[in-house]
Amino acid sequence: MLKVSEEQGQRAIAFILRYGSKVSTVLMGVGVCLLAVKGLEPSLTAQPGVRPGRFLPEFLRFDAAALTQAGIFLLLLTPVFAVVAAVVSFALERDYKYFLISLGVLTVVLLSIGFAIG
Amino acid sequence: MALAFVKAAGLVVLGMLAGGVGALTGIGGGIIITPALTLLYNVPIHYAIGTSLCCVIATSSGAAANYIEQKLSDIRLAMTLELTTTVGAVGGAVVAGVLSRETLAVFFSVLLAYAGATMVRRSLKAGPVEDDRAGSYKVRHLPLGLLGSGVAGTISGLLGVGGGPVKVPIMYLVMGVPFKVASATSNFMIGVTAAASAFIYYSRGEVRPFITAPTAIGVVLGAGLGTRLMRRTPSRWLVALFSGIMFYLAVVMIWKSLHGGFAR
Repeated sequence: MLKVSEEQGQRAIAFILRYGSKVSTVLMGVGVCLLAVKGLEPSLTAQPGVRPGRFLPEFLRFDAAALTQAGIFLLLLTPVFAVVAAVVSFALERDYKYFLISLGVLTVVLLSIGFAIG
Repeated sequence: MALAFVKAAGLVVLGMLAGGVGALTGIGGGIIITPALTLLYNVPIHYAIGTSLCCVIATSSGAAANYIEQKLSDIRLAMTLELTTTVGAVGGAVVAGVLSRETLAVFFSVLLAYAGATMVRRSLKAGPVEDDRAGSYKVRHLPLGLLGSGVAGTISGLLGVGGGPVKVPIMYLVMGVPFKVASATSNFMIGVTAAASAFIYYSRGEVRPFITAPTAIGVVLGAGLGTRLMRRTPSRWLVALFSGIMFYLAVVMIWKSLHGGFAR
């Protein structure tokens, strides 16, 4: 079985956090700039209507609202991915105590997301 | 279009300020954004809290990546404390409808003022120079730390904040963790805590993209500046800044409690 060092595990967590926040910021930035270029002036509290079934095609068409929503959703998921990385890296480090602890944290977070979606 | 740009630019600046201070002190900056959005932009409080939670995640993610690489964040300690924090956050969200927010805010304010005063007193005493690296110290009073983190999570779930103003003093004052490590570890933790609550706000449609996107962009930029400053700033200055923010928040929360400023 593959074994990683503590430093490699921590580098993976840092990578996910850094690029998760960067990519989400770029998506949100492009979305807001496209709105401005198109001359749209939504109110601050406006909720753009991107239907769930149309999300991917709208995103691929560089629709401003879909890009902004995707950026926000990726931002929300970034810490969850970091916890997943911690679970995997503790497992690969064979540090079973912290593997179980981080698995417990992940379980609580996923239950909370499930509660929100349900 | 000009007005929309001015508003968006203002939100980016607000986010930069909150992200910089949040990353520097470990409080996340979300607690600055909620009152600023409601007072300056007249945004409904639920939307402000939804935005604030997203910004807590943005501060946490941007700053924590740097702190982990600088070996300032203690991931093992963060995960251990996050176990009770996330449970507390879910519990807080469940009991939110039962407890009066005003009553809770008064308790929270007293706690903030007490922790702020204790930190100022400690920082004024001449002590040995801290070794500010994760693992260079022995964690004390873990059960008390877990209990305190559970309380921080509960407050986070109830008030929609990251819980940094409670987590940092617990690690620093109770658990014997150096201030910079406590602040960096808190930065990692608050993102995980906020993510759990933020999904609930998102599913209720209370994360509005045109408020959240510019503010979060500012937060990411500000958090990058804050983390660079942290390495160069003496711990004593950070403690003074952190304590000042805690006293300010204590006064604001008591004022809001007395004037019914907490929306349900």
